[in-house]
Amino acid sequence: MVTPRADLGIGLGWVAFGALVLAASWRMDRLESLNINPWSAPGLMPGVLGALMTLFGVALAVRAAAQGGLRRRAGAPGIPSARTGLALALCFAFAAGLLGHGWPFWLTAFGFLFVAILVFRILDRDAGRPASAGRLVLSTAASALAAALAISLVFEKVFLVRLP
Amino acid sequence: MEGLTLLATSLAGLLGPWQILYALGATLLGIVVGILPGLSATLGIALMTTLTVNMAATDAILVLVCVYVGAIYGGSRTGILLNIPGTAANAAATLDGHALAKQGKAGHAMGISTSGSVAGSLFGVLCLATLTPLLAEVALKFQAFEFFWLALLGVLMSGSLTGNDPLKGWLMGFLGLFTAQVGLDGIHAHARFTFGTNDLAGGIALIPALVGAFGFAEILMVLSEPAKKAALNAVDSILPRIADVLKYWKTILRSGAIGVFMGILPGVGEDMGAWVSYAAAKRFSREREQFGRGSIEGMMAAETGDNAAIPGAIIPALALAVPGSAPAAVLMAAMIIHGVQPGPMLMVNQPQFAYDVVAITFMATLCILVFGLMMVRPLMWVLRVPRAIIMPIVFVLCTVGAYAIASRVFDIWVMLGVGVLCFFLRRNGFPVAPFVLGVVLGDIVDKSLRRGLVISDGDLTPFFSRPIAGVLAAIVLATVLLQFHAVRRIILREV
Repeated sequence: MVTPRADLGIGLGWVAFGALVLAASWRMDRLESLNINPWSAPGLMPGVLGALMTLFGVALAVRAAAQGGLRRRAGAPGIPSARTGLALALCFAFAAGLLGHGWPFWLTAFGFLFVAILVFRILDRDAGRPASAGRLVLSTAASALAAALAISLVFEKVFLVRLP
Repeated sequence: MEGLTLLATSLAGLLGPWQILYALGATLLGIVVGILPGLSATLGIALMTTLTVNMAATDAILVLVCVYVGAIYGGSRTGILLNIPGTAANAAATLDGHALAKQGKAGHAMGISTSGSVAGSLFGVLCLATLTPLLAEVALKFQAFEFFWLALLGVLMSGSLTGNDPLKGWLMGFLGLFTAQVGLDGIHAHARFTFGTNDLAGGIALIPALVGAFGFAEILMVLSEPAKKAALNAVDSILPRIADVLKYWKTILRSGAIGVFMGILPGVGEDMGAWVSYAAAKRFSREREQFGRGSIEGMMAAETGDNAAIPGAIIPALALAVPGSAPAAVLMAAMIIHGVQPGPMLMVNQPQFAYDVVAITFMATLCILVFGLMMVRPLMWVLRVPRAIIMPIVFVLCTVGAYAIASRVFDIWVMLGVGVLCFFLRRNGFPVAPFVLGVVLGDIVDKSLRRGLVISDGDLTPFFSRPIAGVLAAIVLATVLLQFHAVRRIILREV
């Protein structure tokens, strides 16, 4: 559920971002020393977009304010849930932390998949049939290993795509 | 006559064993992508673009089009059985499809889905073959002024129609257009918003941004909510019934035409094709009261409309380099990666390729017919795999997909950054499709505006006085002003 207060905050965010883009575009080199046509200056289009984002951001903020966004109880932007935080942490740990350090891709992928699948299967336990801890760990390890090996083989050996 | 010869050559080229294998495999994969809620046709095409980067251009496009057609077709399965549309394009079909399933007619609903999808897709293929050369010929007269308005229209239309709030849609479109400005500019190669880094000088690449917007953001959306117990409905006979096709032939033709038209409109896409077809069918139906309660006609209209919109969306991508939908935008980007330059000159420089795409779409249609008849029950196991297993695997694919095109670790960071940003914005009601259209069309908008102003020496008159540019400008202004009127009305009512 999107609240007027959230829209107000985000609208002001758009205004700030649009103004930054507009200012940066205005200050961008117009390449006068190269004698280019001034209408082909590289900052022209970003400047127009900065102005549009500012204008439409103002419209969003004004509309949110008119809908009661200035009231205290209008609801602030939602705080991410623990599940979201966990998903973000796991994904960043794999993609930004583990990859690119020279370890085999299948091994890092297996490590990530094992942990992520296990964590979310435990969190989702109520949705399916309860399984014993040993079975859960074993089946998770098997799924993670199969997926990691399959992705590595298909991309690297079959389609000759380089892996990180 | 020349067109028929080219089409025959294209069809003959697709009859090799590898091509048939690619088509069947990619369509099956597309259906699986469509069946899984959370995975979209756009993400499927983006991921397969990286997998097919080393293939010949025609083979790669064959795989991508088959994934596209398969995903839009497959999404209705989940809608029928679980009341959760597999892709946004299947939401309209879910209304009556799930109602039929609750009456014990899930198989019948799937049969209608197959016949509607095949009919819509065939109608679209016919339009693709006939309208692409015509549109390309008209587009040869376009200059920078027309391309500027056309590309801007695509972004604004997508913003107006793909979400619930046009203002938020337009802001996302502008953000996409801005994202495309990062890097070396297309006229003077001047670095813009690069902060002195080499990685940003290369620009924000389309595929990592798309994978972030449609993949990582979706993974976060799905994993942030607890899993719900879903009960699969029993499936009766899945064979499409000729009687349904014959009885509703007028609905099929009308929905096909609407679907193609909605597909051609820049940035609108398959979901609008389905909804507008559904609404038109309801308007003209004699069984209006059945709509929403298990109407065969409603289901047929929605499925014909969304599948006809696929070839419809490819038409402007080929002829104008302005895609009709988000998946078509990725398809167009893949064509460019493979050395094909879509646009008015395509029919002059590479006419065979345009007919290759027609033949490929026809082949994809045959493949969904094959799988619709044979693989309905076996494919249902996909729905039993827990999302706790699927989503982490999809994330690994997203990481590989972002990295593989240019082998840059920076692209993985782009995917993560765009994904988190789009997750946050989506949760606050901002649609992602206009952002994608913006990223794809940003270069055209930028170059067309500046070239137009250079040609006219800063005079804005040609942007409005040339006949086609004037019409496009009027549509763009009307699109914005009409919505602002509605916005003003809402404000007045609230005050």
